[in-house]
Amino acid sequence: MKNICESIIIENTQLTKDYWKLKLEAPTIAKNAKPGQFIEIYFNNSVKIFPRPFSIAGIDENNLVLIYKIVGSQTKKMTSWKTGEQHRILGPLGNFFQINNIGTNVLVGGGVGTAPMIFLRSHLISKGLEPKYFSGARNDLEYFPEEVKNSQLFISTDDGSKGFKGNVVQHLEKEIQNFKQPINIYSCGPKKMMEALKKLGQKYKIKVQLSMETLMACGMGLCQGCAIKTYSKNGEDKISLVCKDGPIFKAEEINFHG
Amino acid sequence: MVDLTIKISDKIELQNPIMTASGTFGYGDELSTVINTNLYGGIVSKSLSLEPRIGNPPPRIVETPSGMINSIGLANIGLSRFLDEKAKYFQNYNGKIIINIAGKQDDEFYTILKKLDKIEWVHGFEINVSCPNVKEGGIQFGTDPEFMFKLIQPMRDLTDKFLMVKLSPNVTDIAQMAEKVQLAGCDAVSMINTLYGAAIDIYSGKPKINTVVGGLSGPAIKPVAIANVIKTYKAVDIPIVGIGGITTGEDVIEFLLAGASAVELGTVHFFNPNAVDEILQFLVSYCKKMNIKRLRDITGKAKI
Ligand SMILES: Cc1cc2nc3c(=O)[nH]c(=O)nc-3n(C[C@H](O)[C@H](O)[C@H](O)COP(=O)(O)OP(=O)(O)OC[C@H]3O[C@@H](n4cnc5c(N)ncnc54)[C@H](O)[C@@H]3O)c2cc1C
Ligand SMILES: Cc1cc2nc3c(=O)[nH]c(=O)nc-3n(C[C@H](O)[C@H](O)[C@H](O)COP(=O)(O)O)c2cc1C
Ligand code: FES
Repeated sequence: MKNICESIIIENTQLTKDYWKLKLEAPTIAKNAKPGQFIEIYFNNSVKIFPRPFSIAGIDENNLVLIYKIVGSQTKKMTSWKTGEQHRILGPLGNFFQINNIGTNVLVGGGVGTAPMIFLRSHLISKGLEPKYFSGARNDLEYFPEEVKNSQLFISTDDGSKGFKGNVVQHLEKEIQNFKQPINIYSCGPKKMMEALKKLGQKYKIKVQLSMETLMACGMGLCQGCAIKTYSKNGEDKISLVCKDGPIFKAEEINFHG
Repeated sequence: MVDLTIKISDKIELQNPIMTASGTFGYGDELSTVINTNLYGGIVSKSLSLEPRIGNPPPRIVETPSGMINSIGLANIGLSRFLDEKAKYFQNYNGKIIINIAGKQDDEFYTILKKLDKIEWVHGFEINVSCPNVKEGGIQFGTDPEFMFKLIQPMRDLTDKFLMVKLSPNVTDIAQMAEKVQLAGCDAVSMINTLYGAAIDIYSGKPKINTVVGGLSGPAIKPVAIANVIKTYKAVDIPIVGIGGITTGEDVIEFLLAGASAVELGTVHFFNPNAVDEILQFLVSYCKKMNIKRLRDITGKAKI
């Protein structure tokens, strides 16, 4: 059940040039959060009024872990937050990934899309599963997840500065025949990458779950602003709300050309 | 003890003057696990139409200085689903329930009104005239006084319940529109709906919302709303429900002084879902400090 609270900053550290890790104490949210869900952070800013959504990248007892990238004013502001400060947050919001216990779980994330994948990975590992993790980026300046036990990490960069040279979906396609069926793909990242994964899923008859992003105002179904174009089960055009119906969708539901 | 109760006409008494603005509070129950929704004097529903509407294609919202622009397009689940799914919640709700109605043509408004008139937990109606009339080439019902009068006049015969018309600020003279509402025998006016607004992405050159022009709301529009309330308070005797950019208890007092009997909270729900709690606390402390026994006594008391 969603909860609004004054969270306390436990840690706020720089990971790479543009990526930061934020740890917040928020016991009720931490207790209920599932991989794929997100929170809204409120900024108390009278000019830029919207809260900002961030995926939950992990749970550490009473704490939430976020990984954020500086892209604009509010993410820039977050880098100045100090341990002990209080900031109002709302969560956990949205739906979550549906986990499969048999076959191979393949996680595909890049850049900011890494955050929910890290949470999903630790969740799968805690259940004794051994996910394969594909992490791709333009170059080695982006943030990559750390290798942890029982998880095979496959890294790629467009320019070959780290790992496989090429995009993450090409990398996955190269490896996929070595994986035990049935394969389940979970992903979060740029639209282009997720669209390529949808095609890959169709080609190999693999179930793909995607975490979508849009601009959000409320984050909880009040405004209907976070609409994206989707398909119903019968293939009819539909509109879905990312904050309430998502952020996780089956790949076949997403209309990438809308 | 401070008395926060308020009457909007003889038909509706609220435990306090704070209601929700249509389209900014879901269908009324979404926030019920996050905040105490019983704190409101009343809930105004999302604009309902007879049939479900999927609304406008994305992108539908954009953040603008101290506000936002939306083009949701009156997306809603339609009357029957609303009644099926929400009745249970509303039957047990403490405050008053006002249903906001948006039709595409006159008949649609009347049909909905007739159906809801029979439902016990519906205490009143807010008529959204800021929607396009499909029969008349998409022109809004609420832009021309005569045109709007023709729509709302027959409504009085269809219900004895509280009937309020929500006015658009995108007109030459809002007071003239309010006079028509009074003439049609309605119980109150609410104002303002959103202002015209647009924003362009300077890198792609594209408009930031699909319909190019949408509705501006949020703190940025409060002075416009206050001006409209002042003007209307001078022109009509029926109560005014003030809407537009309310964020704090101070804002609420300002609306009451300008001439509003009650107010609706809108965009604030997106950036401070618990605003109602903070506002009520302020209202009580303000009354104590200013030695006001009944909050309703300050309506229209601005020294103008
Ligand atoms: C469900 C969800 C989960 C998210 N999880 C994370 C996360 O774990 N880590 C993270 O760093 N970011 C995440 N984001 C994106 C994050 O919300 C935005 O980066 C943030 O709102 C930008 O705020 P800002 O004020 O810094 O930038 P602004 O000044 O608002 O915008 C700067 C630039 O960023 C773009 N932008 C703004 N909002 C978004 C958005 N929602 N998605 C993509 N681009 C955007 C704008 O178009 C603009 O070009 C998530 C978004 C959603 C919807
Ligand atoms: C996202 C959004 C959706 C809205 N939907 C409706 C609606 O369905 N019907 C209606 O009468 N007004 C609608 N409004 C207008 C509000 O009810 C209100 O009149 C306006 O936003 C001004 O108040 P505010 O500045 O406090 O938000 C909507 C406003 C927003 C921001
Ligand atoms: S962000 Fe408001 S409904 Fe999704």
